[in-house]
Amino acid sequence: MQYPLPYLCLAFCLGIIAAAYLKITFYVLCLLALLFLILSVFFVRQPKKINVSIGLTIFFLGAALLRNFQVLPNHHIAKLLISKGEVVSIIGVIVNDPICQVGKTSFILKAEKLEIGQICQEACGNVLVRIFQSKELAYGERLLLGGKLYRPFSFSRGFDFKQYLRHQGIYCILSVKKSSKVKKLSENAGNPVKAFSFQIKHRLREVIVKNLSCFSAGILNALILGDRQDLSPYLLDVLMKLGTIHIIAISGFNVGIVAFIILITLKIAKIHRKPRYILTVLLLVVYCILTGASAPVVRATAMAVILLCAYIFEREVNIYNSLSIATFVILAFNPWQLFEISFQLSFLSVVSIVCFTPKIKSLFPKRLDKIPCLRFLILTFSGSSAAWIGLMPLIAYYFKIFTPITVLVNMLIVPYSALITASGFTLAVVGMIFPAISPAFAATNELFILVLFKIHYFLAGLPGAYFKLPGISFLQILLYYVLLISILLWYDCYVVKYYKEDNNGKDLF
Amino acid sequence: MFDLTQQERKVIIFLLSLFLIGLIVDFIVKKASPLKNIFNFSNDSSKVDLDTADKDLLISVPGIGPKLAERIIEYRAQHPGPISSRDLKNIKGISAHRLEKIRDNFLEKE
Repeated sequence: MQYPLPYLCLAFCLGIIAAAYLKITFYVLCLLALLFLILSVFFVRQPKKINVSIGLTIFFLGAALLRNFQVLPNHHIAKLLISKGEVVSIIGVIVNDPICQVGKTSFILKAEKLEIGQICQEACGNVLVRIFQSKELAYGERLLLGGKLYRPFSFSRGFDFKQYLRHQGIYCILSVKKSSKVKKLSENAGNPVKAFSFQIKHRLREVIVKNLSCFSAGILNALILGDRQDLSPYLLDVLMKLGTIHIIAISGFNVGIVAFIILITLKIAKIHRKPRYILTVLLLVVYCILTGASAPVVRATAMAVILLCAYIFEREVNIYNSLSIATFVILAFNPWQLFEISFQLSFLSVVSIVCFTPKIKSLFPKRLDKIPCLRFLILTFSGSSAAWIGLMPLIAYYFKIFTPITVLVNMLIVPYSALITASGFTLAVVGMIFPAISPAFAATNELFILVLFKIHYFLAGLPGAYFKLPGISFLQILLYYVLLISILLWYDCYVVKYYKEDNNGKDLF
Repeated sequence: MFDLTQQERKVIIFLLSLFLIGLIVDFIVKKASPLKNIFNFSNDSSKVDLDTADKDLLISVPGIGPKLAERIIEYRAQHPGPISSRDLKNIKGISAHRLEKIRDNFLEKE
């Protein structure tokens, strides 16, 4: 069996889920993990027993990891904040790319020192800072801020902002008024690789904003750089209703295009194979950082890096194993990501595309594969349907929406947005190197983006394009996936075997 | 289920052991982390480092304007090595009187 990692990854995820719902202490979990680890050592020569003991060790390690993540150091800023909201002075370093809007700047600050009243203490932990003025701030700057520190609110209905922030490791918000002090103490206090990545991001953003209209620049910034703050809520709503919001979420699709562009460029520059792959790996890591390193991007980057390393070391690559490694990497860093919508949608879409696309494709006559246009249509239909089959219940659960036309819309929009992403990157790079010729590329991008959204608005206006649903329960989702897996297993075990037997080992078509 | 070779089993057991040890150490460090009081919150931390401060940061010091900030940066470029507030008296525009007024805003390094 060449897929051990998915099973181990599943055990790890189940451990994390168990720890989230069961109240078992860290020491008990570690003790159980140690027990099964010792058993694994004894069973090292017994295949069946060691598989079970390793699986259980990983299960309890996953649970222990989540429990450990819930424990904060004694000098964590959340523990130093005693009452509901206090006026404080705080010194810390900006650890992300600040978002600057009209009259408001927000960023994440890694706290170093805290002053509450007369008490000054060393502190740690991340704080979400909101400054009610436009300030030119950058990653890695050490600031002295004064404002009101409070815990995030948890609203009774809808999106749980408090839980969302907690899952990102943020337990407090600092609100800094216009009149409060904001003093820059030093610069370059952050990671130099991250600082370099953000510099490239700002340069690319400048080029895009300089060459395109506000609307088009906002969309291209979202497609290429992961900056969604300039997108209108109406546009986001249309994309969600048609099931194409994933095109503005940086994910494997974008990482794949970036990897392809880098490889082609380096190939044209006559760089040898191994240095070409190594350089691509490094540039993909930079791209991952500059887009904000969200779970889908990290997943895609990890899988791309594994694929390229497999080429470098001349090893076979397996998509299930690489997906599992990406899962381990993300969850080891932050196990709460397992409960985030973006993580679930990202991983489930890859799994369903990989599992179902070949099966849906096999339903079509093989003779149609000889015609390139039809082959392309069958492939896009199979991929789009596969993703829809895997994600439909989750989308219905989280967004309470059902889009019957999403398969056809995605067949049209996904390849087209690949074209826009590629042309957007071209504009960004040309704008940096040869700004004099960028207007031509800018005009092309404007046209492409205009057509994309005319199509969206037209399709969203069609009767029956989407339906709002009442809430569906978690049990219904579970039943759906159990049924889906059963159908998949039945197909693999009986349908394929039956057709091969019936046709003397030949495929049906 | 899945079939691991003996070598793979040993590697996995080794990695899991390291992970478990790291997890326990991290937990103990967090639980035992001390609360450390600081007595000079606004002093050293809000002081400007003459070796790294850019023009905007120098201008934020009361008594230093844009031209003086540029002269400090030029002086820094011409004299590599750490600069203390005492060296500022060599810069045009900073008299002994002005130096006394602004020196408390700068970080003194030993």
